[in-house]
Amino acid sequence: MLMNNNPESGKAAYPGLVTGITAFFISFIILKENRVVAGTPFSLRDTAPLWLYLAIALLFAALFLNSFLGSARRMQIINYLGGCVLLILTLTALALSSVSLGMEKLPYGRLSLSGGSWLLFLSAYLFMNSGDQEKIPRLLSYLPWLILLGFILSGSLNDLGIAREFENEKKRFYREAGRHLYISLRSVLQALVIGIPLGILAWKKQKSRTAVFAVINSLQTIPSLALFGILIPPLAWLSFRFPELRELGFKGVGQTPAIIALTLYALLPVTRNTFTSLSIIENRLLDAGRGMGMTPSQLFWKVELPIGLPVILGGVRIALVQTTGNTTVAALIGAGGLGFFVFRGLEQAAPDLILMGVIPIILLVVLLDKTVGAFIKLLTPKGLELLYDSI
Amino acid sequence: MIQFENISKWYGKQKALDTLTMTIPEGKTSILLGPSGCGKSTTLRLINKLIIPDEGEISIKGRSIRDYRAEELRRSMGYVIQSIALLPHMTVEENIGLVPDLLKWEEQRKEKRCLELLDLIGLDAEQYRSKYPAQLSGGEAQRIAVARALAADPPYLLMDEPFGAVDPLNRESLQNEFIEIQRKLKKTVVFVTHDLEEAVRLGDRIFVLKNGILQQSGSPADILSKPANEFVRDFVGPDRSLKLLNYYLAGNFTDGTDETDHPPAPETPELNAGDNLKTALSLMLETGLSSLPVKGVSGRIHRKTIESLVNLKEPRNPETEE
Repeated sequence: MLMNNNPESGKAAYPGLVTGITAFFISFIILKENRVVAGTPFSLRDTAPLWLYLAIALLFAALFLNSFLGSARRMQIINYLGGCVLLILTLTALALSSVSLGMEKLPYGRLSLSGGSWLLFLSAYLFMNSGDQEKIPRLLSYLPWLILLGFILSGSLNDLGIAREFENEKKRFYREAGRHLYISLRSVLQALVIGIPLGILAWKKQKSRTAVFAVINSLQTIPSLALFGILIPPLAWLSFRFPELRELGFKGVGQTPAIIALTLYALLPVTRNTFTSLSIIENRLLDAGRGMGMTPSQLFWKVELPIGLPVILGGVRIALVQTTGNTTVAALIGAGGLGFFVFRGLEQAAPDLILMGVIPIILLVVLLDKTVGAFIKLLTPKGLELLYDSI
Repeated sequence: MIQFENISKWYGKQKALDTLTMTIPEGKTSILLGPSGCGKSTTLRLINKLIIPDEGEISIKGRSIRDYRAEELRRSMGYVIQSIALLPHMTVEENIGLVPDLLKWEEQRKEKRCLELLDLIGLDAEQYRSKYPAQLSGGEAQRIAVARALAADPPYLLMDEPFGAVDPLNRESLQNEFIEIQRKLKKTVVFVTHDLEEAVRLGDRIFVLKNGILQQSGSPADILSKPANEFVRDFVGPDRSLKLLNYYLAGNFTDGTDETDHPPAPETPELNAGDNLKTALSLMLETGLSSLPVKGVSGRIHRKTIESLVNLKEPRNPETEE
């Protein structure tokens, strides 16, 4: 047996192994003859052909052996690729299930993912993330998304419940997704317009500081659903009293209260980070800049902006992620958005419908987070990165 | 020459400076000395218009600083502060190039100047130019801050406790380097400190301030040997005679006799010309000798000479001793 560089690194594969092997012993997929009836569970052994079943088992054996061999870096790459192969095998098993279970004979039939398939996905994810993500070659990091996209576009997963729901509600889906994005972005934008000046005010005027943060901190403690509810009566009254406002979209239910509430929520990260960005620009730096003969505008462009901007963008990032998630709840007061599918799925006990709302929300959050994250990385000067690392 | 005429400055009801009148000589190091809150930093910041006086007039070479635009005035004065204040997001080279940049120098000229300055402050240019402040030690960062202040070759250098935040060992070498650099460049330096030793080591002229009022101005020897009032006497401390010895260099106080005929005994310790008289006295007390030879200088230094120097009732002028 070869020596490990680091005896700990082999253990990184264990979570993936444990979740993956558990998947063999529970139901893999649930077959429903139509949307309403209770389904019949099938295990991996019941639905997948023998070769596929063995291939998955062999893959786990290989990954287990890998955890004893080779260098940490090679081990990590192999784990990552192993995770990708597992993803392919799992998706293939799902595609082949619809053949082996005779889906073509059931026009209203649908397959729902069950514990086993979820665990295999989780296992693949754990293998891919078993080490430092920075070490994975950039091209490889897109591989799982390409695999997923390939299977979806090929139509081999069309018998899955979530695909069926999507097929039925396609139009509605795009509309609600657009609405979701609109509500989230509009709220964050409004929070920026209000929150950045508020942060500057809190920094400049000692007296206003306590008041500003007391208000926006306490807003943050109100549960989102309650805040939506609180806004209904005053807005309803306003729109009743002043019909002109109703023309502008002021109503007790719908998008207006949702956007107002979400704006209030997003204020905290924006205001706090603006405040922080100003307070980390120390007086000594401004004094030095002024003393060297910088004009106020040079001071802003050369000192205040480069040091402060990454922190403010950090606030925008938190606000975006938080708001995109919270927008889900807005569906409850008739604002629409992807939460619509989540709550309808809950009402109708249709897990596939819930997934149709939840998965895009997660993808949206991840996408926004990565985009702003990349911006921040781009705009953070190297010297500041070193400074923050050293603290 | 920087002239202060009847300068007063209030902070609220507190009078920070009271009808201050003084002249800062050209090409010399002038020290503003005093306890914290005495107004020495305020005085410094008046010169580059970071603070505007309530009363009085400051003029540089006879021209009132009111006539200068603040930014232009500041670009002609190097400015170093205690907390270093290198911009953390810029490299050493970019930091040094800040004022040249404001003066719109060409890239080539900036680069050449940066390399020159790194050389002057004794840091390896290729190794340091692309480093960031987070990668520097406190002493290195303060050297870079001095280089930054010198970048555009300003005739004036304003230094606000520049070595105050550095550890004592590093402070001493920074002070020595400063003395070296100033010997070469002969800038008009205004240097704020609360440290008497530092003032005596670096200063050509010392201005002692208390509560915004000028107490005394003069050479370090003047301040130590003839304190003008009770406050200055207390401030320089009861060991002022030893501090004074600190200021005199051994090479200047030998008796001048030719000793080639009577070479000193091989065991006799020798002084360097650059050693101060405090070291000389210390060595005499240790060895019990009443006189010591000085390396490379003819003649010996006598304990009596030292004693007469510290007899402050009749202070001697070092120039006449040579």
